[in-house]
Amino acid sequence: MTNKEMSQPVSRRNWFAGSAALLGAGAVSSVLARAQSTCGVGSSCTGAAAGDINLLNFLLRLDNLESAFYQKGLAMITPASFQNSVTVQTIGGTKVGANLYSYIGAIAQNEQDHVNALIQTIYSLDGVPQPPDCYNFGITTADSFLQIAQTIETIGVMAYNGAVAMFQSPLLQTLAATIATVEARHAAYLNLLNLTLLYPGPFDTTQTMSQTLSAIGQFMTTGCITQPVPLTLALASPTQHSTVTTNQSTVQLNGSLSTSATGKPLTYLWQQNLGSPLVAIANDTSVITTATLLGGTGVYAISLLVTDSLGNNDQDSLTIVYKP
Amino acid sequence: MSELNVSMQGVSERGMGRREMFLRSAALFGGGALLTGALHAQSPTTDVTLLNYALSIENLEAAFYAQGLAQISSADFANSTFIQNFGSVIGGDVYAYLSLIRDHEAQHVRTLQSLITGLGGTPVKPCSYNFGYKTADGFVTVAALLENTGVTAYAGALNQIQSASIKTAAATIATVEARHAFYLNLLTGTSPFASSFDSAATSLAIPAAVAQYITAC
Repeated sequence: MTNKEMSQPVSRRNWFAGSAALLGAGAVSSVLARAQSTCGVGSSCTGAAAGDINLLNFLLRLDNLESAFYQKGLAMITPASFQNSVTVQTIGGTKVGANLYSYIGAIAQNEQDHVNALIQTIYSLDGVPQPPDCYNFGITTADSFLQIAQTIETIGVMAYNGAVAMFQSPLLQTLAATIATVEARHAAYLNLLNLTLLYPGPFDTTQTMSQTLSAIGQFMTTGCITQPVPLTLALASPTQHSTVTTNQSTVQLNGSLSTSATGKPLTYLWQQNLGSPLVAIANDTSVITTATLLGGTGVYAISLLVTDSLGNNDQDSLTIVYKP
Repeated sequence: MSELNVSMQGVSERGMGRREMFLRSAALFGGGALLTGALHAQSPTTDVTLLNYALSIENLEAAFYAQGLAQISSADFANSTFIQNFGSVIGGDVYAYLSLIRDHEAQHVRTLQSLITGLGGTPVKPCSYNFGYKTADGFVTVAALLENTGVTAYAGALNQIQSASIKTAAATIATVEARHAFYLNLLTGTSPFASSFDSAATSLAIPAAVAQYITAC
């Protein structure tokens, strides 16, 4: 599944080109360098903010992994498979099994919300969000999924607890703390399902960044095409990726549903695609404009390129079948 | 899956046996780390105020579990309405898990008291409480309210703490309160993951929903 195939606004973003797409230390260095370079003029961003951005990117890396894990598991495992799992059968009763699929779905939503909040926070500090890693979780059955989930959630609690006090910004300390407690709720649930003590001690433990990265390394792999950070683009009219058939030689183009995760202002560029019959676009940088189809009967292709003020961009296209 | 069955049978006994070990090690580790942090606190007055705020909530929680688990028997919990349809594994562990929460809250009280004393402050004393429950079902309803309130209180106070190590300690207590809260939400049938972010209290006053249980102070 790609984001393009979802009914929601498209999520895509181009940012690091070529070798800069290498992950890990290189990406973190880029983030730091960029944060420092963009925080000098007319901005309150300081060295401390760069440290906070680094921490946020670390937590984003973790939440990206968690979110991907749940998406993968929910795509693989049916409600019936959960219901018939050894885990559910062992716990018995009817209540836990009946709620399991919806609770896992709720956790998946929590993790995606964490990812989105971290991305927006990083952008608000003029930082660059780290793209997701490539993963191999080794999920085979509902039972193995629930065991891996327990491992991941337990790491999440320790990582967040270790990060909270390292933030310079009090607001970010609170953000991390209020995510940490949600991760702890997840962890307790997965402990319950796996028949492990829900709350092993009066104090949870902490983990450093390097301990966490080492612990999640088992789920990392290479060679995938990473999903970029969202810049959402949606054509209002004609709808994105649509094919419209018309007998009129003029078509209204409307890109007003485009939004940016950065909250930064957008610019628009309408273009005739290569191979399309001739089109005249009234104002190719307007969010709403008109295309006049000049090549007679044919299949026209027009694309919209949207760019925010940080240089993030996304592109979508539409097809017009003109039958006068 | 024979391992799981073994774990299932042993979860109460084994768990509680390990609990003793966890309690001791946490007391040593947690308490020690906290006291070291206390020495470096830049603003003891502020931190004492915040710690006493946390202590006032922990005092209430500790009294709640001590009273309730003395009054309500394991059999009462087994016959309660909330436990129906949870099955024997979860049903059989309810009393032990509530007792473990009681022990955690008592440990939080002791840790906060020693921290406050270490900062030169005076720990607030417990008040008199009337929690109003009549049954095991009523007890877990109040418990869920208290634990969720605890999460919100710690999340709200945390960023005002000066000492980094006390801040971390508060975070690690907050996540334990959240684990408790999850369990009680599960028992009471409240959606346990309805919110992607817990809320953070904006005031250091004890919330009215909880303050109503204080009869004299």
